[in-house]
Amino acid sequence: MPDLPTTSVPPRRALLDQFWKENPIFRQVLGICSALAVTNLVFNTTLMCLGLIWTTTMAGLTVSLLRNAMPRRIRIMVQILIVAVYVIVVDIVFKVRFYQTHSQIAAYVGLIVTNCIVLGRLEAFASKNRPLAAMADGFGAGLGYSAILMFVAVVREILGFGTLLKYTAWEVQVVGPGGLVDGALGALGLAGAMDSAGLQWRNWTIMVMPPGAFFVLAVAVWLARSHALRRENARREQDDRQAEQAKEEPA
Amino acid sequence: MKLNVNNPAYVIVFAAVVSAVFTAAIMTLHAVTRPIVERNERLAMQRALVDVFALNDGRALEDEAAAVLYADHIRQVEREIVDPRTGHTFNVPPGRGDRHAHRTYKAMVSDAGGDGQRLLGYAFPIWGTGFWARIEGYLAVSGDLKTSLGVVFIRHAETPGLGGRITEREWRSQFAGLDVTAPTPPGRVIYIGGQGAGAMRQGRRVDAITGATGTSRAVETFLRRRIAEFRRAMAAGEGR
Repeated sequence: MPDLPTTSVPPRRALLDQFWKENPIFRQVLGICSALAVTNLVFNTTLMCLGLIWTTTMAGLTVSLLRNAMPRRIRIMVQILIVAVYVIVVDIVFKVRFYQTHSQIAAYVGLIVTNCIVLGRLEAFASKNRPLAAMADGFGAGLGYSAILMFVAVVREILGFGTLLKYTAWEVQVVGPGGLVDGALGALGLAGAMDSAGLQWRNWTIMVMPPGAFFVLAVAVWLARSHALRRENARREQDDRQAEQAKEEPA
Repeated sequence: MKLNVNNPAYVIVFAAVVSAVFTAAIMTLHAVTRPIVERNERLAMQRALVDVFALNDGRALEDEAAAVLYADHIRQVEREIVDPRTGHTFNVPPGRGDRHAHRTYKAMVSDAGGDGQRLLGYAFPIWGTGFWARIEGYLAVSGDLKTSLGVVFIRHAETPGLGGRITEREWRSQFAGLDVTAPTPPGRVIYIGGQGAGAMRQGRRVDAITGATGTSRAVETFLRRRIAEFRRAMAAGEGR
């Protein structure tokens, strides 16, 4: 009856794999378009990430529930339909709760439908796994995507505007333009020295623009991959040592 | 009995059922939230109008305070306002047209003597293509159509932090008090950015947004068009 065999990946492993080991951004390099588009303000990025986490989680659950009844030849069409439905839910919720911000990011919210991460996880995992594992996998993929995006957004907003969480739906302005950087320089005791040298903080316009995202994303991917590589090497060395010890020990 | 999920009849039925179920779910959610979304749209518009007439800082006001200010001072213009040359409609009479139709509003404030109300000005719809997509908003002008009172943008998709700064109060405040009378050719009714302080620019120039030249130019272009169209439309209405 089912077209695809059901595998049994434990939900915890599915989540952790997607969050780190198979992270959609720095391992699979998926969903980069939206990563570049929405990450110049932390608040907009937060909403986008919440939207994606919701969509990957719920679409994963739904596709997994329907996997045995879904005809293989129309599965992509049905999966797109399911994703579109959850994205419309996100769109409606944003319109209800964050009306001002919605008007700025509506175009990107709609594009979640075409985000390769979502369809990729549905096709590669949810359509072959049990509902709980599929949910965990989607949640992990969304969370892994969000972690990198939030890093990029924080760096871009601080360097591009000198602020954090400016222009939020609640008009929370933690610090004024340049204020965060000025404050940080002051805390480091550098403000006076800069003033006396006739220097002042200038916002980096390029960080606000899409090319800025390329730079920060590249740095984020580099840092994450280096860290992952170091951990893998350390683990491999430890395994090798254990294997050698096992060989040396008399049987 | 095993169900053959690849049977063509099953495929059709499955697709139909799935589509119907999910569409019904979305329609239900849409219907349930529609009053809230409409309220948000209405409030956003009321805030924008309170803001553009400089009655108060619309974005900083509580919902209720913005609604009260709107109800006390702002009315939709009663008559149809159409530019005879382009056919662009700036106002459909109340009760006509859909809720997205362009509308022009007027603000009334207490007279200096306190015993009557005088016309503060009109806020008419402005629209045009921005750097990325369509921009919509309102420009308020004095009752004699000679001076601008302010501008507000209610819908846009410009880059947040760059072109998106057209919504910031600091930038918009430059539009208060500009001369919007018909310019002497080859002058323009409004200048956004550009160098020089020639006589033609006197009282008609605002600073462009740094890093958003495309948006600034786009706004300048469609503002010039709309101002000219609105003036013609008002003149045509008076003549009828």
